[in-house]
Amino acid sequence: MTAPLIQVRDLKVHFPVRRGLLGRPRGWVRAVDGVDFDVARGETLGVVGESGCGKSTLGRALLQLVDITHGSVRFDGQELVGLSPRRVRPLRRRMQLVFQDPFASLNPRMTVRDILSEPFVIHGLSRGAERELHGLLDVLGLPKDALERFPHEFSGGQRQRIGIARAIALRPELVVADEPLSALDVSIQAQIVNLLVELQRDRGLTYVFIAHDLKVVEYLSTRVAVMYLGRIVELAPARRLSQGARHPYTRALLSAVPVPDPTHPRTRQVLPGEPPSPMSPPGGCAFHPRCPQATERCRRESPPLYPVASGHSVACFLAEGDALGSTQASSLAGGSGVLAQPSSPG
Amino acid sequence: MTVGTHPASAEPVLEVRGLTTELRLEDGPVRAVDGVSFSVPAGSTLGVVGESGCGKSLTALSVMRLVPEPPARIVAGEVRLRGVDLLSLPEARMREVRGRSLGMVFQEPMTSLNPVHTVGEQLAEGPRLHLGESRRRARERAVELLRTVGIPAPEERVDAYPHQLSGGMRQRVMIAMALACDPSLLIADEPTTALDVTVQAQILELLKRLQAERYMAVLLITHDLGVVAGQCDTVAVMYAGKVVEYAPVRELFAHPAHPYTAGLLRSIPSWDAARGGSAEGARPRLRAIPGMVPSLRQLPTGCAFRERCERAVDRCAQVAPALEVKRGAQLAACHHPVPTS
Repeated sequence: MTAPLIQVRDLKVHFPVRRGLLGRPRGWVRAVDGVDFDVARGETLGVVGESGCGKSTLGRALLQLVDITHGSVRFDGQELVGLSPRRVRPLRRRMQLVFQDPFASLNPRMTVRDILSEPFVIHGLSRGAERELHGLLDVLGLPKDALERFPHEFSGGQRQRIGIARAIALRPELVVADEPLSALDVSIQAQIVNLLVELQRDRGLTYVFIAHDLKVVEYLSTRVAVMYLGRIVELAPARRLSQGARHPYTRALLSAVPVPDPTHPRTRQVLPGEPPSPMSPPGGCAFHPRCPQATERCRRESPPLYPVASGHSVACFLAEGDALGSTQASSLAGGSGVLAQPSSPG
Repeated sequence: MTVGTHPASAEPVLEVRGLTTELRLEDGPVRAVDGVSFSVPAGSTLGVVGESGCGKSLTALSVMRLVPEPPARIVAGEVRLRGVDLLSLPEARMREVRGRSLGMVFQEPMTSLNPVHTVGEQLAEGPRLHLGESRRRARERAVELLRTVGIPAPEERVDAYPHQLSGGMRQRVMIAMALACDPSLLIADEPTTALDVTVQAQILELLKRLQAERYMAVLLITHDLGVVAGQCDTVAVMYAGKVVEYAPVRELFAHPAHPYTAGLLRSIPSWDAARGGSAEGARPRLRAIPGMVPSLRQLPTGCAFRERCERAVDRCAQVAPALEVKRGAQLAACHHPVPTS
């Protein structure tokens, strides 16, 4: 197997909560709190979780768009954490972000030509850009006269196509897509999903696909990481997820998704409560206050990610008995990082 | 219109006939709700489903006579609540109906609740105004209502302000407010769209339980076919201001008659479709509906869906299809409906 395109080890992103602009921090939001995973070239890693679980921050951390508190992010073998902005810039070409809101992420005063040319200009690649632009319109199914028009002249679906065109203009290797479908209608979502699949096939893209919609994530992803309060609680091959999920939170998420079939048996497991604040996460396993299977141990200790099958690991003591050998376990789970209590960042 | 009272249903609580609401735009009026008819019996849920701009929310607002006027204006139709035609009521009477007989729940609880009043004050307002209750009795009722909608420690939460509650709790408070005067009809417009999926599941369960306990009629506006499948007895699918299919929920999902309904159902990535693909990414393509919803200002002649429709025939460009029975209790507005497979 070739080296992974992305390697993340014990990644933490903590945001200070201040009173006033310059006040001393009153506390820290542990948006991402000790995360380990790899992304192989050409695969799609889906990241799911509810609001506040840290999935968007994780995506931005991969692209060095937020300050990393602790840990390591390697892109194609090169460490990104601590790299000066000047050294990051050439790498930026190779990794791009697609935003959720196609209405807010495109400058309303720029024509589509300006929007799509900008990446070429920034990276000093203006020569030959014109031909690339026409190619992009074609690939993305945008009308030929789109270049001279402004974002407001397009529908939501077309705007998201423009956002994707901007992201792939410089032929990046990695595309982080943060909820790219949630502002779109169902029939348009399916068009964009098909487009993302085609682009990946034709250009060998690697995706990190962040979404709250489990159905779409399962459909698009090779593997899926389920996040809860800043941590990955389960990482599994997408095809195993709906049948083989082990973490009680993953199971609850799956059973909470409304199924578009009125004859589907109503065995919905309704989880009590709501995700707690990432400012003061509960001790032990962060999920224990909502967990139907929590034991005394879950209140005290935080479970590491136990590998239970090839490419499948679960951060739950229930899976401890099925964990693969302990040497494998520590190498896959990234050592003690997952267990470590967050230190105050400085 | 050909929509009769649904065969399986008792006398409807809400009956809507030919409801038409115009939007008066600078370049002329468009019909954003165009001849919509449906009925909702007691204890039953009608789902109105469709994509943005199809007119589903404006339909709900028209039923409540809360359309923003201008630019919107109800120009035709009947809305009968327990036999009373709401469209001909004077505004003062309508306000009373809204307070007493209609409960409303909207998508974003934070913007629907008043931030400067406690939850208890807002819950007491309806009963004090419409049922003439004393301050003390209304407060007791507020605590009861909070308990009914599953808010822990209701005696304390009754004095909380909306910003002190989570999104799920605020939506529970909205539902409590909607129920305060024991309405016969609950109108819920995307009540769970702003919520996380585990909280959505809680709210959907709550709505079902309350409906069963109180035998309310529910008009549920949503874009989510999963929510429709789990909550509704009957479904009205809207496209470009019109109801294009109207059917009992099982029939609709088992064999949609309108190509638009069929297309919507196919657009949802299903667990099966995902499992059918290989891990290497050779997934079956989703069968997306081509094109996009036409602007109401530039609707095609005949059927508004025909330019995106794979089953369109010549007649579709000439005559707008009427909503009529296609099989059993299933109605569709289509010249060339999808056959049962």
